[in-house]
Amino acid sequence: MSAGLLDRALSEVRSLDTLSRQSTPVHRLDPRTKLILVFMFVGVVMSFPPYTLLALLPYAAFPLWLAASGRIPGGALYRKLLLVLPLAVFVGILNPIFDTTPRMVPGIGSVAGGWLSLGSILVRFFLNAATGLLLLGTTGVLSLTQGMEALHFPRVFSTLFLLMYRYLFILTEEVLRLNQARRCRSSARSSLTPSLAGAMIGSVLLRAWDRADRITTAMRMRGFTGTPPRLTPLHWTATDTRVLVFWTAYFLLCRGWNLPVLLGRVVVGLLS
Amino acid sequence: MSHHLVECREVSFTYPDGTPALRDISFRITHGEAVAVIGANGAGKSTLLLHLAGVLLPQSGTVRVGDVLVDSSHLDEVRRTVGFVFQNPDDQLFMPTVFEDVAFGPRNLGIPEDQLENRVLEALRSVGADHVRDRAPYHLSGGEKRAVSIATVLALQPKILVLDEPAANLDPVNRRKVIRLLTQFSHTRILATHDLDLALDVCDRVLILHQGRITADGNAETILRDENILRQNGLELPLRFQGPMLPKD
Ligand SMILES: Nc1ncnc2c1ncn2[C@@H]1O[C@H](COP(=O)(O)OP(=O)(O)O)[C@@H](O)[C@H]1O
Ligand SMILES: [Mg+2]
Repeated sequence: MSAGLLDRALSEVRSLDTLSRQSTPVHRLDPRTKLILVFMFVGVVMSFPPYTLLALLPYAAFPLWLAASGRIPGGALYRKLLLVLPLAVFVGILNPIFDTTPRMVPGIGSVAGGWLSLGSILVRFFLNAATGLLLLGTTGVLSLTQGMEALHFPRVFSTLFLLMYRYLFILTEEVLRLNQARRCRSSARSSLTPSLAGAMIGSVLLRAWDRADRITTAMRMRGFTGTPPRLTPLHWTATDTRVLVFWTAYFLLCRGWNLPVLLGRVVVGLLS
Repeated sequence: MSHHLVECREVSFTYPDGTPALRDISFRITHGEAVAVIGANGAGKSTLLLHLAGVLLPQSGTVRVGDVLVDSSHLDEVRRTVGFVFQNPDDQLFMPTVFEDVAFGPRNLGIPEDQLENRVLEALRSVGADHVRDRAPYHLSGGEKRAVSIATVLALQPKILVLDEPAANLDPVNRRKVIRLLTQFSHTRILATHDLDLALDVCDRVLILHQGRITADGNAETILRDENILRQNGLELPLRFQGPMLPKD
């Protein structure tokens, strides 16, 4: 991964953190509500059989709602999704080559199974990644760890989440700094050889380790004993219940009936 | 007021790789003193300060902070007494917002939520940084970062402030701000610096470290005017005591 991309990824994650400090109806929801909904969402989306495509589309409503009422700009989200897209393509890219069995798609016709499952992987990927990013952007790291605690996630889990988030930045910053130093001292044509890259990775890990060590010391000196600090108490409101019930019902409804196909039938029925 | 006392007795420390960093260090700092530990790069300043905060423990000799001996069984008390400001604010600031970062310490100490906000704002105000309370620490300027990292320590209301290179990497304006801030505190202050003008402005007493040993300990003005002592320890006169810059010979 080039340093430019890494740098962008880092500032993208930071911009999400900034967005998480807004105050919108979605931001004001209890972090538990959002955590439960997102876990349910991912679970239901992943529970569909491998060739599902159309039946997944109604699920886009959830991230769209999060983005719209949480006032997360589409552009910001879109760029972040593109940064992780290669991963999803990597997972599904061989499917069209190995799986050529034709399958029927209502309204479209016969399509090779491999393309269908690749499409399905991409759609799921976008839905889940967008929802995950929106969760971070509408809740913030701290409230998320607090929500995890309140939902009785194992404590190590929420502490790890908090620390990993911080260490992610440390590691990336070290890579950026080192790469800059390398570029300043190498000619335009000299490239990054494997042995140099190896030495750099070693050095980055050592430096990141040192910094992580200093930060942990700084935390311990301010009384940190391994549990994330407690924040303002959580408040579950009637809105939380309503939002939770509504989206749960919607997720299950769309799991039971293929809404796009049903709608298609209704439209066809009306027209004929 | 023995709880504001800092005392080292024959402290020696060698890093695991065999680098001897402190040799036979002894001194005693009393309540309200402001002491500068000065010395060339690698003299052992940071290592000494880390001993005062219990991050490093002496291999021989003893360190006392207030009434307690700094050893592994008293670290909690030591950390409540001593506020340590790291050289690099990025090592000190780790929470998503300035407010959360300053609140981190008091929260860990179990300060009730309704007193917390006051505590945090008071600390931020005393360093002139209350306007950045909702910003992310990594978006701040160098001077603001330094101010906030001092606030994170002040919020714990320590008796003794220990600062490593408090003006490192600051531009002249922000450097002056930090100096003004440090002169205002009534805490016992111990700071490591190679900025001798800062030492002169903030401290009444100076310790010179040279290759891990204390080579001078006394009145700041006297020592910092003594070109011979300074030169022997790899240092130069503070800028304000240097004559007009004339070409030599
Ligand atoms: N973690 C470490 N491991 C090994 N040697 C170290 C370490 N930290 C510092 N040193 C060495 O100890 C000596 C004193 O360092 P330090 O206390 O950082 O000096 P100063 O702060 O005065 O510049 C130096 O020779 C330095 O190279
Ligand atoms: Mg140092």
